[in-house]
Amino acid sequence: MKKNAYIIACFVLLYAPIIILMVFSFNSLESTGVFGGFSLKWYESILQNEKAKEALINSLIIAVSSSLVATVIGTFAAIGISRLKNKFIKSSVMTVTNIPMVNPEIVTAVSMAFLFMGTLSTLKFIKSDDTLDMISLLIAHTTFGLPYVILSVLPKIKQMDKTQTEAALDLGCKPTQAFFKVELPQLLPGVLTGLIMAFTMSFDDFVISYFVRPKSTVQTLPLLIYSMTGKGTVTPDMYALSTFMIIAIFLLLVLANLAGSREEIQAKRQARKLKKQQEAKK
Amino acid sequence: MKKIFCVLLAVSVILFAFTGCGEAEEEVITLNVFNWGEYISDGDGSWEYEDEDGNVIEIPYLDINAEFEKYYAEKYPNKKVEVNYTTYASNEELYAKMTTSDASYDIIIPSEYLITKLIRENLIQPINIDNIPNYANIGEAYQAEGVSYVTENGEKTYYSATYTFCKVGIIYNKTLLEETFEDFSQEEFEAEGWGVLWNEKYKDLGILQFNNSRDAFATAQFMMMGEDNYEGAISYINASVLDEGGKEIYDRALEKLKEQQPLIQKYVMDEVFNKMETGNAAIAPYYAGDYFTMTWNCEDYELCLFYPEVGSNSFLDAMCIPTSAKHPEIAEEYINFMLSVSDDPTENISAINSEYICYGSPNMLVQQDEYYKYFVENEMHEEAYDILYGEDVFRFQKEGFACLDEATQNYLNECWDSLKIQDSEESNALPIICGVLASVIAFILIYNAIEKKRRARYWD
Repeated sequence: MKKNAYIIACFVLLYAPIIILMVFSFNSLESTGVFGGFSLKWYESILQNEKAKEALINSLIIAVSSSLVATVIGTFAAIGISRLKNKFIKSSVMTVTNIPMVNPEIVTAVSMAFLFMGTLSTLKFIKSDDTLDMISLLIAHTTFGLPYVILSVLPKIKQMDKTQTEAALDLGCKPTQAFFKVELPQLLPGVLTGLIMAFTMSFDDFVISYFVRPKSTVQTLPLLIYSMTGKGTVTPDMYALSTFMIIAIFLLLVLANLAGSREEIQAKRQARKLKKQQEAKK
Repeated sequence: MKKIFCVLLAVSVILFAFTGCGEAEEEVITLNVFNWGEYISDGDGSWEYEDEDGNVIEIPYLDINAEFEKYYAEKYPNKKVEVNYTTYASNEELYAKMTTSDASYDIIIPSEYLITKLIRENLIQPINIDNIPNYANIGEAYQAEGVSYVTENGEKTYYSATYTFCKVGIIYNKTLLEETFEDFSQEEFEAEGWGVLWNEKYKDLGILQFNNSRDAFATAQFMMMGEDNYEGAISYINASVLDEGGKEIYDRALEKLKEQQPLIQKYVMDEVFNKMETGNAAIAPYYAGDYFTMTWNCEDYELCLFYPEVGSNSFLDAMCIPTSAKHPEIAEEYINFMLSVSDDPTENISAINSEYICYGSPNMLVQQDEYYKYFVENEMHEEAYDILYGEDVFRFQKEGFACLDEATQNYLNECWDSLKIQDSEESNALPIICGVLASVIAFILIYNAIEKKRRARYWD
């Protein structure tokens, strides 16, 4: 009972703010303190709000593309790191990959801002301000998404059964075929975790996005919400949007967990089969 | 493997290049508008006008930027303009963006003191009001020397077109005050002026203060002007430390704020909405335009607003064209459009925008517009018209912020910091340090206990 109370207290502390936000997204007043009655008008207004829609789409484009790019590069990087023989080089490479993660965001942000302002602006063939901003955001977000992918893929590589790869190579697979047919399926849970991590990190990033846009014309969702505080308050349609996002992320997590547990169940089944086969042989 | 990579890279580079070219070929001009968040009508919702015969006209809050694109396409059929609308949260953010990044905006809407600074630093360009026929709609009272125009040799060079104006007032919760004090009288209360923020009587009901140096100091400085019966030319709020006696004004104001500190429930900006609407606090100085938002949301209490007799800060935001603007002529077209009026209430751009924002409109034709008046009186607040446009309300010459020189700004920041440090030392730091220490000790104790048990079990 004592334990339960402790757990309940933890959950209340963690989730009360989110629940309050969800409740107030159904408020009929434009207030963050007074609840005037149930209404869906903020949901209606967020669906009509062009600026928010545009910002959401920008955020999604950047988050999806940067996390995909980071996942591809990160997975290969992890494989490369795992195959390094020299321990000194290995640990120094790991340190370098970790820097974007442990480095204070503001430092990364400012340094990238200088870099992009100096280099990207000189590229004359990019004429549109939006494209320039998008490219810099994409590069920046990929950079800080990378270590999360590498760190979630590396342990999977260590767990991986190397004999299977060797068997595949023995049986006539080319190294690329062996990678895609044997290794990648085993790494997939780690790769997916990395992808989701990189996605969420990119989606809610504020500090870096705030600084790195050389033309400052593209607005992502966190930037839009921040700028709303200038005159007046953040309107409850942002609460409605956040509620949408919470539900989407919740569903994503449930799906990921379901997939994970299914994999586990399958693995157990296979193990059981193997055992039975061995017993039958005996 | 390597080859595949090379091909992929090449394809992606080409694609990027193409996207760039594709946009350029269509010849769509992008007009970059940089404005405060939530500071333009965005096509969300509508309101209803009912005339004496009971006929109802529904007036939508138009999406002004989209309307401008339409208007421009009609006027110049061979050109197409797209408004790229981005937002910022403070004047300082805008200034930083203008000076440190190579972003180029065509329209910006800063506040008065920043405009003066931008003019001095040559960051905004003069506007040609011959291209803006609607500039004449802006009332004389809402144009100011050094902000809207600069006079040289008797000739005015225009730099900005006033977008909105407003004033700081004291908002109070009448219901709560009446419940607490039996002999509460509104007239007496309002006659106290800024003094209500310094009155210990109201401490328990909750007094709020601005959490920004200039506004907070202005409350103290106006109070001092009342005490001194000051009639000089330069208002205390614009005193410079370089002038004789200037420093003393800031020192005195700081003393006043320190004296007020124990009475203040919290220094707030946005939080004021929440606190006033729920009755958590009863007295707060804030911008009059935001008072209307509070009264809509507040159902249980009656909130009132008054301007202290001695004066309070009058401010304005105005549209300017930065020197780095790519399309100044379209920007002028945009300014003209923002000031345009129409007899049809559903197409009256300037009025609809003011209805959305709730701050005062400098557009004289809007102020006299029958539908706008109806909106202000029926939808905003019964007394809203007087609050915004009452006689002698907007006194920019006397009550507006001028751009402080650097030394004064630094001194003001110093004073503000010393006030805030005292604040945080008393209220926040100690409990936090105690909490951290307590949790660290608790963690060590628990860890030791667990470790002991584990070891005991191991040896068993």
